[in-house]
Amino acid sequence: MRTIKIARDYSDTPLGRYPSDGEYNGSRFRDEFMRPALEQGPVAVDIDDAEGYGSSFLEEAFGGLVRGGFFTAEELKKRLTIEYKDEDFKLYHDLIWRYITEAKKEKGA
Amino acid sequence: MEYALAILEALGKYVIYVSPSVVGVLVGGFLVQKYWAMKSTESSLIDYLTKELNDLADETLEYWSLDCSGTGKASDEIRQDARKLEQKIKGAIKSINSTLDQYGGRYCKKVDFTPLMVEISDACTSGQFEEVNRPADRTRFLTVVNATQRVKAELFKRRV
Repeated sequence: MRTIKIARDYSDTPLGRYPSDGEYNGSRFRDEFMRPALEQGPVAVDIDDAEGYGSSFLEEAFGGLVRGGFFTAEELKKRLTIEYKDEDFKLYHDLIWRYITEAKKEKGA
Repeated sequence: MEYALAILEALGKYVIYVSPSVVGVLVGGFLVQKYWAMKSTESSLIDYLTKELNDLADETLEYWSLDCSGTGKASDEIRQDARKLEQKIKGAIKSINSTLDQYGGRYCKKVDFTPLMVEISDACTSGQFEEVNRPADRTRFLTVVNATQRVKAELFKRRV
């Protein structure tokens, strides 16, 4: 299982949805990190140590996997693990799974 | 000698009949004082959390009232203000979440505040949050107020 630690491998201050919002945005994380890793097999994402996450980043990075038609929520439940040791990050764990569960595949995706 | 024995007998009766009551009153007083001291600390924490939640709601109102979709120097300044508020809002959510976690662990282990904080985070920072050229979204404030109000209501239930 491949592990991606967002604060170490991407940025400890990720923000925004699109490239126009900043270098470390949600769509770039989804397309350059999440999709390639998930296509190869199970992935664990460690969310600890970041300064904080905006819901827009989390929705684009994780909910966007379903909205974009790359994976279904059921596939992600089998392949994706969200890890944290710091209890303060349970909030973001729950937000990620909420966005994955609530995301609907967009027409034409 | 008889006088001394009478005094000792009186003291013995005092120890047997009166001391337990005195000890009971002292222990009871101590426990009541400890309870109210604990409630007072809890009440101060609830006041602190309420203020933090109100500040978060105010900052969120200010943020979503800013229109970042324009062009020109004035719009650049608005975008600068929005960038600052974004960091303040994210920091406030993390801080409130952490304090609520400690509060819950110490005073009400049965209440899980995480679902309520998920609602707050979603209300404050979803949609076009952190988008550079987003328009104002004034309808967002009601969602934020409702989400923060639910946490405050849960906290006020605990207040004596």
